[in-house]
Parts: sequence; C-alpha cells; structure tokens
Amino acid sequence: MKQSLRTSRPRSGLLIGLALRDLGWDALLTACLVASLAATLAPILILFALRSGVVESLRADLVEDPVFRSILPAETRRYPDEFFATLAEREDVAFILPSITRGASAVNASSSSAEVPLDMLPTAEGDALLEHFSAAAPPGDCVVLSQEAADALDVSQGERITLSTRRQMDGRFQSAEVDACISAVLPERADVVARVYVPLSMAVDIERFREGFAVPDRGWSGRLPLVPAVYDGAYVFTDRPVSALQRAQLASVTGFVVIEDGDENQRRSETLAALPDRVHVLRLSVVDQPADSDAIDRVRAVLAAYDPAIQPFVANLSARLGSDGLIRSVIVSDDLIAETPPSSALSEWLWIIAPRSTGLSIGDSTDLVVQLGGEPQSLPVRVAGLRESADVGIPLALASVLRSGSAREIELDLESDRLFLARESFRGFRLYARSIDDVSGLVSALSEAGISVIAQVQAIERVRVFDRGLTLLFIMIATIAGIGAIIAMLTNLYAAVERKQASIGHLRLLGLTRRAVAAFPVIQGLAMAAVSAALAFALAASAGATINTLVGPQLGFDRPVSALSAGSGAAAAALMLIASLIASVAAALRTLSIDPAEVMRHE
Amino acid sequence: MDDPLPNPVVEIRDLSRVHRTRDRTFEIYAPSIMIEAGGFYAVVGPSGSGKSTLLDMLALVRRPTAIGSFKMWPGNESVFDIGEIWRTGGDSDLADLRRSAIGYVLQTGGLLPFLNVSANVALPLKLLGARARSSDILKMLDEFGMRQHARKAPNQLSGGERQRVAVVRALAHNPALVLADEPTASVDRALARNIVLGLADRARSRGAAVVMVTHDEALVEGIADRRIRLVRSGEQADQVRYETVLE
Repeated sequence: MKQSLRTSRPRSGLLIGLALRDLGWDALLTACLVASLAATLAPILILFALRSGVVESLRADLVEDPVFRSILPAETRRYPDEFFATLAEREDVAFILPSITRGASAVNASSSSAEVPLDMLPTAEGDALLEHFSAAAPPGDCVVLSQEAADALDVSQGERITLSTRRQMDGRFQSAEVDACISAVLPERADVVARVYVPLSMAVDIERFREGFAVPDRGWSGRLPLVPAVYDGAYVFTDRPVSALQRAQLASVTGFVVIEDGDENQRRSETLAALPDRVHVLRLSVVDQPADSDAIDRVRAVLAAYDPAIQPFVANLSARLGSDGLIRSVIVSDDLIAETPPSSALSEWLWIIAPRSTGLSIGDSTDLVVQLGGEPQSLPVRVAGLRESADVGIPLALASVLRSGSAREIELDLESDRLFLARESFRGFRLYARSIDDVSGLVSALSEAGISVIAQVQAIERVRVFDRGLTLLFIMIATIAGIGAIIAMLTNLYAAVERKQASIGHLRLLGLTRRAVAAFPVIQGLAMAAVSAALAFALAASAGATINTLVGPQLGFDRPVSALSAGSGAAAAALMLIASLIASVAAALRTLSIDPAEVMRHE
Repeated sequence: MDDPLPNPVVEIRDLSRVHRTRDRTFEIYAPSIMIEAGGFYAVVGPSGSGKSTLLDMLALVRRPTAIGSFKMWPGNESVFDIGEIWRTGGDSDLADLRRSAIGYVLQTGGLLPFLNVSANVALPLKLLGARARSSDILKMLDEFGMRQHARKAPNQLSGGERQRVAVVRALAHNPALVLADEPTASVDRALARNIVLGLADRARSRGAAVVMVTHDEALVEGIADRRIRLVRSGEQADQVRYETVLE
C-alpha cells in the first residue's frame, strides 16, 4: 500500500536561506557572537602574521645571503678531484670550487692611480656569491672586484688592472704579472674585504708560480715539477757495528724509523746490487710514507764516522711486463742517489732485466705497465739483460720515481722525455649549499667524511629554534583560543536551538525532516564562522598594516614585521569552519530531540 | 464488502495511544474515525481527555501505541498506510506527507518569526518546490483581509491577525487535511467565530477536510459537520481510558 507522494524534497538552497534569515532576524545576537568569534580569531591571526613576518624576514636574510649557505674547510688538506666531482653531483650542492692555499691568495693589484694588496679567491660559472649580486663569472683574464678593492684602486667595471705576485727563489725575488680586465664590481654588502675574484685557472697559475714552479703558458719561469726519487728503505754497509746511540739517532732524524740488522736473503729479494765488501749490514726502512733522497743524505751524515756504503731500495712496487701477469720488480742497479734519476732523460733509464721465461731477448722493446696514481700506465722499455727469476728487474732510478707515482699522480711528457708530477690536489674548497636547509646535512656528510668545515649552522639553527618556539607558542595560543571559540559557538548555537524550539518544531510540522532541521544550526554555525573569519582577517590585516608602519621601522626590518597572506586567511577561515562544524554537532543533536507535538501543545 | 468511501482523507480503525504519568496511565482509543474531504470535524471533550493527542497522531508527529488501520489519502488518489510507515520508521515519508497533505493552525498561529507574513504564507509552497508568485500570495491574504500586512513580521501583528495569516498559510498549498489546535484560544469570541468560519469556508471550497480541537463547542456550532467526542470509557485504579465517538 505504501506509495510515493512524488513530492520534491526541499532544496538545500531554501534550507540555507531559511537558516540565514533566522540569523538575520536574530541580528543582534548573531552580531554579538560573530564579534566575539572575530575577537578570538583576530589576535591569533595577528600572532600568526607576526610569526610569519619575523621568522620569514630572518629566514629570508639567511636564504638570500649566500654567506649563510657557504661551507668552507676548517683545515688545509688535500682534496682529490673525485671529491669535487662527487659533491658537485649532489642535489643539495649549488656550487663547489677548489680554492688555493692561503699563502698564494695574497696578490698585489695596481691601477693607473694606486697599488694595493688584495685577497684573491678563485671563482667560476655558477658562483652563488657572484650570482646573488648579478655578477657573471669573469671570462678569460678578467676579474671581479669587491667594492672595497675597486675603491682602493679607484677603478670601475671595464677598466684594467695588473695583478702581481712575488716569490723568493734561489736567493732572489721573482715576480709575475697578469693584466686583467674588470668584468664586474660587487656591491659593498657582498664582500667587505678588498678582494679580487679570478678564474680558477688564473688562481692556480699564480699559486704554482708562488710555489716555485714554472708556468710556461704565461711565460713565467721556474722549476719543473720533476718526479722526486723516493725509497722504502736502504741497506747500510759498514766495517764495524753501528752503536746503539747512532741507531737511535738514525731512527729519530732520518725518516727511516725501523732500524734492524740486515738479512742477506731479504736484501737479495729487495736489491740485486752487488754486495759491498763490508761486514756489518743494517736495514733501514719506513713504515708508511717513502723517504726522499734527503733521508739518504741524513743517514750518511749520521754515520759519517763509519764511512758507510748505502744501497737504497724500493719495495712493494708492482708492475706488469707486456701482457704477462703482475710481477714484482727487483732493483738491479747499483746506482746510488748521487745520480738523481729525473735529471736525465727518461729514455736513459727505461730498461729492464727480463725473466728469461718471457722469451724476450736482449735489445727487445716491450711495455712496462705500472700503477701510477691508481691508474695503469705503460712505459716503453728495452731489455738490457735476462735472468732466470720470474721477477723483472728495473733500475733503481726508475723504481724510485715510480714509487713517487704510486702516491702522487705523475705524467709522462713525451715531448720533453720526462716524468712530471701532476698538479697537486687542491688544498681547500668553497661550497654553497642549495638552500640554508641543506647546510646542516652537508656539514654532517662532510664531518662523517672526516672533513671539518666552517658553516653558519648556528645562525641557521637559531632561526629554526626561533621558528619552532614561535610555532609552538602559536599552536598553544591558537589551541586555547580555538577551544574557546568552539565553546563560545557551541553554547551560542545550543542556546539558539533551545530558544528557537518553536520555530524548529514548526519547520518539522511544515514537512522538514529531522536531518533537515539538524542542518539548521550547522548552516548557521558555518555562516557565522565565515563572517567572523572574514572580520577577523580584516581586523588582523589592519592591525598588521599598523604594526608594519609603526613598529617595523623601529625594529630595523626591511621586510614586513607582520605578514598576513590570503592563504593564511583562507586557512584561518577553514579552521573556523571546522571549529563551527564541531561546535554545531551538539546543537544539531539537540534539534533531533525536539518534539513537534510538544511544540503544538506549548506553542 | 463495505461501500466504497465517498472521498476519504483519513480512515482510522482501532487506533490507540497509551500515555503514562508518574501515578496514572491514560489511554485514548479511536475505534473508527473516517474523515472525508470537505468535512469540518470538531474534536471535543473534557480537558485532559486526549484531544490534542488525537490531533498529534493525525498530524503524524505522535506515534500511536497500537494501530489497527491508519490510512491517509493525500489528495492524489494515492493511499498511504501510516501504520506501515510508522513501523518502518520512515521519517522522510512522514515529512513528505506533512509537507504535502497537511496544513496546520496552532494556538498562536505557529508563524515563523524570522519570515514576514508573505514569506510565511509562501513557505509551504516553496517547501513543495512550487512557485510562490507574489500576486497569488497577496490574493490569498486578501481573502482574509491581510493583504496590507504582507510585509510585516509576525510580531507586528495582533493575535487575531496572526491566526488569520496562519489560516491562509495552512491552506496555501491546498492540503487534503487542515489540523487546527484551539486556533482561536487567544482571540475574542466574535473574532474567533469569524476566523473559524473563514477557515471552514475556504477549506470546504478547496475540498480540504478540517479537524479542529476546541474546548468551546459553541464556537463550532453550525460550522462543524461532525464532532469527534472523547468520552471516558473506563477507569481502573490507576488507568483512565477515553474513547472517540463520532457524532
């Protein structure tokens, strides 16, 4: 029997209209509640705006100033090329560039009117400091000057200056000069030091000159970076036993820290040199780093009274002959250190005594493959002799320089027929994190790698702590105020339902469902929350403008002290709407218990 | 087989409701009530006999304790088993029936205070999704001499004016049934008679049945077609029973 009435349900727009008209009829009470809610919310918004303004202002200072993103090494050490390559690939690294030694960074600069000492810093494309001040990396032989430097030299962009450096070598002062154009002058706040930013290649050239090396590309003379001969130890032959005192002296001053009696079998495995006609043999050796020829001189000086014969040796040098497997080299030359190997052409000592098992004949040519700087490198050698042993013998002169190459990168210069030391690793770096939030992570990563660094972690952390503190304070106040707002709204909405039982009952009689009348206080709560949020936003915006006008200049802020964004207003409105939903639940439940029959009776 | 009903609006058989107070139990029992379209029914009886409770049940806001049969014809030849709707707890179905089939006139009008006279009258139509043209509303108000008060708020009207507006609103959506609970209790007798006459006339002309609770039988003398009298039919130690008698 149940049938449908086919009657349309009241439209939600009608319900909303009725709820709002009810609010309008109760305008005074509605206005009171809206005002009280706005008065609760406005201070929260002002506090939030102040938090945002102050913290963001401090944070922006940190973000904008590259100094706070810079990370510098706290100590001088060698940083291999892989170090720079690895860091440059990290997402949190905006820029990294090697730096030169402090000693080499002092240069003189002269213009037509002045000559001043400047601090030199290498730079390159992507330098965060230069980019921040809209200066491009200097091209070619151009440089960028700090304002201090430009003022001292009385020069400006586009003019030219001469950079010069000096060194003392062989008792004489030598100088080198670079004529450079000024591609940019940084503003004063970028750098308070009289400083010149130069391309990395120029800085490296100046550093090498300062270290005494020649820089052929710039026409600067100096010594060549020849590979030094180094040894793992030496056998000392004397006619009489070396005293305990001399032994102790050898261990303390020569660099050979292990002093022991020589063993002939061990000696034969380490050197094929002929046994001098002496009775007493000492074996001196290093623990880790090989000793240079000066160490041999010191041995000779300590044992001068013994007139020793000294046979240096190189141990643990691995080499491969042609395509054979790895074999251990044996030193066959009895050359002493007086014949410094690098001083002569490489081809003079590129010879070996090959194992007979290799099938090589005297006079043949082959390749000696050695590990240099971690990479295998082939050296063309000729066979000067054959031996039964599986070991290959190479001259001490060659072994001693190859031993250098095992620790330092060396380069074979075919043109000059010499082995040269490759450029040493850089001694420092200048790094900029992508953002201030990346600084602490980078500092940690570098610390874990054993690299002590200097960074503005504390300054960044201070702002973070300040931010966290203010946020916590804000949350606490907002929570308390929010609870207050919910209670105020809840009691008002509940009281309104109590007061308007008759109207609600009438609406039920007129055909609204329980659910529809339950929506009444919800709609009214939302409406009042929205209006109070808008009012609070307007109040907070006005207060913020006043604060920015009156207080900002006194605090020396160049950004708004109070920063209230539309997003903040929207968030506050959303929170108010959520609070109103929570608050209206009790009132909505109360409407469900209103009995329209009672309304009919007591209306 | 019963004769077909001429034009029923409500048919009740064996309907009862028990109401308990702290020391007594009251029962109202309606063995058989037939309310026909266009009829004017006065619910009379002594105070406390359950007149308003009967009206509550007809208004579908008070659930009977026992229902033999309770049918309603909202005017479109459909018939609704109210007992079944109560059993299935269909709040929205009851709301639909209240909205479309029933008009109400309460003791002080029952007007919504936040709507003006015109909006109060238009509300039943709007709730049905019907168009409430201003001219139609004014015409309806004009029938009760209330046109000039169309823009006034209910609290700006006298008691008699509010009741007349309430009558207009009760009839605005052409309900099949108009329920009135002491609608003239707050006005003087002459005006009360006038209002009841107006209600009866307009309802009859629209084919609507009117069920009016009154303690003043003289008020409906010559107006009511039938009386539903509540008479005491039994009393035990702590229980009183009233039964409807259709006169």
